[in-house]
Amino acid sequence: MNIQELARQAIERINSMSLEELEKKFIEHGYVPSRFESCENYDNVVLQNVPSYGAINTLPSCNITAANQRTYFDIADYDMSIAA
Amino acid sequence: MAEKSVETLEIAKIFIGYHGTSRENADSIIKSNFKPSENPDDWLGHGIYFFVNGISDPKNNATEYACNKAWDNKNKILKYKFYSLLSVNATGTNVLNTNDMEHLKAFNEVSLLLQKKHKEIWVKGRDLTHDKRIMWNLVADFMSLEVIIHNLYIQTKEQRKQKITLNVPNTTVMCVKDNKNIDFDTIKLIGNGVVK
Repeated sequence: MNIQELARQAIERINSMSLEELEKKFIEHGYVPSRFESCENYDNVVLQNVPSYGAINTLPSCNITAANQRTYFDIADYDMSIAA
Repeated sequence: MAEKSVETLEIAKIFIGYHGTSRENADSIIKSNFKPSENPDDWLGHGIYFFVNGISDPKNNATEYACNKAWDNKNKILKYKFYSLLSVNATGTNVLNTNDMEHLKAFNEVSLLLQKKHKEIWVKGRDLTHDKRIMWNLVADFMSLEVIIHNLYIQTKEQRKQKITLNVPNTTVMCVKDNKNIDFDTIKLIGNGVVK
């Protein structure tokens, strides 16, 4: 198959995928969002709940070991006792 | 149906690759084929790496590579004293060869779309273009690539000694994504040597 056809099919596949599916694909190939970037997606939640400890990157309770695991940032996982 | 039969009739291209490694690894490869590497610093993403005809002599490149890899810089010792050179035929129909301008354009077209999508997924994302290995893996996956050929700059031993780093490619490298694209029967030991 010629290269233009391979590229055309690739573009068609990428465009047909949802962002969630693409996100999985990126992670499958080793992409790990930075700690800062992932916290930032949830900064409103973090800052509202622990205003005195607002420095996002120093929060021990942020509990980020693998930034691609979004469930780590769910407010339910947030360990308030450490922040306090 | 007619289209499909044309597709399946497409003749796979054959590439001769040269691989330098420890004698021990070479013995294992001859017995049980190559295994794709999955290292974070893989030049063109995961795959099996060879030097091929191009900018410079691929046998010399493979020899130098085997000698350089022998040195354990952390512990300042040689990991192995003897190296071997292997040659092999790799085949593939879906080949990206960046020596061809059309292939480069195709890579960039797919890569740019992935970068755009990356920004949509992670709004304030870090720069994905720094993740060369991941971008190569993604493009190869979406384009169903079997073989990638690319010119690379690899610092030579002499340049390392003199602390010279250039940015002009000096080798041509082939990455075969899967060992099903390696013709196992063609794996040949073409030389042995002592690491200098």
